[in-house]
Amino acid sequence: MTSRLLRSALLLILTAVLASLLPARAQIEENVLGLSDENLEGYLAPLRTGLSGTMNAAIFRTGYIPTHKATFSIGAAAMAIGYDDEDRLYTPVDPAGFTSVEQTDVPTVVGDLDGVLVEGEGGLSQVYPGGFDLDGFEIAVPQISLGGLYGTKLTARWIALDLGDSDLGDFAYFGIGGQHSISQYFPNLPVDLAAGVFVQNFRLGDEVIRARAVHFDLMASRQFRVLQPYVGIGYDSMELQVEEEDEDDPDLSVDVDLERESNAHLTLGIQARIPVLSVFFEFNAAAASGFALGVDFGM
Amino acid sequence: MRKTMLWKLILFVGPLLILQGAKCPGIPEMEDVSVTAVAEEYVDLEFEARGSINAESDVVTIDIDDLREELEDNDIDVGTIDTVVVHSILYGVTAYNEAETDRSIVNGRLELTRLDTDESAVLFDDVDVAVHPLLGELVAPPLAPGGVGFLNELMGDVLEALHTGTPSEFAVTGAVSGQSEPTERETNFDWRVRIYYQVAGEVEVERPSF
Repeated sequence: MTSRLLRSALLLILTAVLASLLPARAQIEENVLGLSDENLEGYLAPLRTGLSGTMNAAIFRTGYIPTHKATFSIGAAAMAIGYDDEDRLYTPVDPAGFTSVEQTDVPTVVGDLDGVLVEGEGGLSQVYPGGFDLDGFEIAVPQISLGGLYGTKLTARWIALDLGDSDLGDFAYFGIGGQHSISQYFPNLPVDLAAGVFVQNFRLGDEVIRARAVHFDLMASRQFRVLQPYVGIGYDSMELQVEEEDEDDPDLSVDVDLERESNAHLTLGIQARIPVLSVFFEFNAAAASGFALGVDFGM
Repeated sequence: MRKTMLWKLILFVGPLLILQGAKCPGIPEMEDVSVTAVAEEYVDLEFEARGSINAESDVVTIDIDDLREELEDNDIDVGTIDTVVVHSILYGVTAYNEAETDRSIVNGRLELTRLDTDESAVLFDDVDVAVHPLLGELVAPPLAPGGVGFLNELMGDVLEALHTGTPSEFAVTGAVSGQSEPTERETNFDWRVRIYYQVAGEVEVERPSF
């Protein structure tokens, strides 16, 4: 009769945050939501936005891809977005058999902690769960790049965690893609230019929550001594699927595909590079606006 | 040379300090918060319509100990539960055993009775409905004014029992009346009324503080 989705949503946030910082461990053993599939989508929508805004950030930080010089780097990137007030509420759809007396906005997963009771016609009532009262969303991931062959660089991100006693199974995150130098074909360009594509998969538990992101961009940069400003224009797409089987009562199982969210992506950043080490800081205007920073070691 | 290196150091550390001061994206702290969680339950009153339409459901029971155990299994602190409400009432046909699909009910009526207090209320009345289209469906009947109030009063008693432990269960039975048409053939179908109710309480969670 119950669902573990609230726990799953929190675990997703926790895991994303802690993935590269601490050994993750579930903090909530069980939880419930009491939401229809339609309203589950409204409740979790800011989570999709947060994942899109962070997972699709800080992937490519340069337009300079050497054509015939081997390069290798390993590092980490931390990405953060902030939520607006409008992300904290959604307007629920009345479930079957319930007609609300007046339209009432209720908390999303990042909204107020307190739930809301909505009065319905005929004396019926519907209670909506509270959120986690989050102002933002962060994720930190390790990243590795290998390049130098015909102006192409491959990039990958990967995290795999056993969530131990959470009974949610494993958490797995994997992203792979690459950039190809455009400026090698146009040697008179005033900037280094590269086109990139990156695909990411994010899975929590045995298909409890699954996210898939695709990112394309065109990145321009130019080196000024140790500093390298960069600008990227791109496109993001994010899918989020929530699946929860209730073995006791299949009627209460949940299988929701949140509508794909696609958006343009603008990146403004600066990278400082000295031999072996580089750091970067960037602003992203995408599904949500946010900042990212990180460090790379390599050559 | 030293000046150049110091400048580079500031270059590297500066953004980190700025972001850390802005808590964006600093290493998150963890904090305990209480979130309102909602458990959704339902009970089914099941009826067998055979021959004559008059039928009585089985006794449906809400076992308070089972409910409390289920809520506790989901980490809902029973002491914080302050809301138990009926949120929807649906009905539908679960089996249709007649060769013809033209069965209909006229002036259908369902009366509920609590076995602990003998109080009764009509949940719906004067319902005219074609039976076969409801096979496998759950739809909302037109509810009688006092029926939901009767159930909400029962839910209030369930809430109190969750806190006090007594009584240990609540039992309800349903009695149906109405005309089944066509009358020249035997009625033969099964149906149910599903009453959804919600229990809201607090769940203690540890969340990242951004």
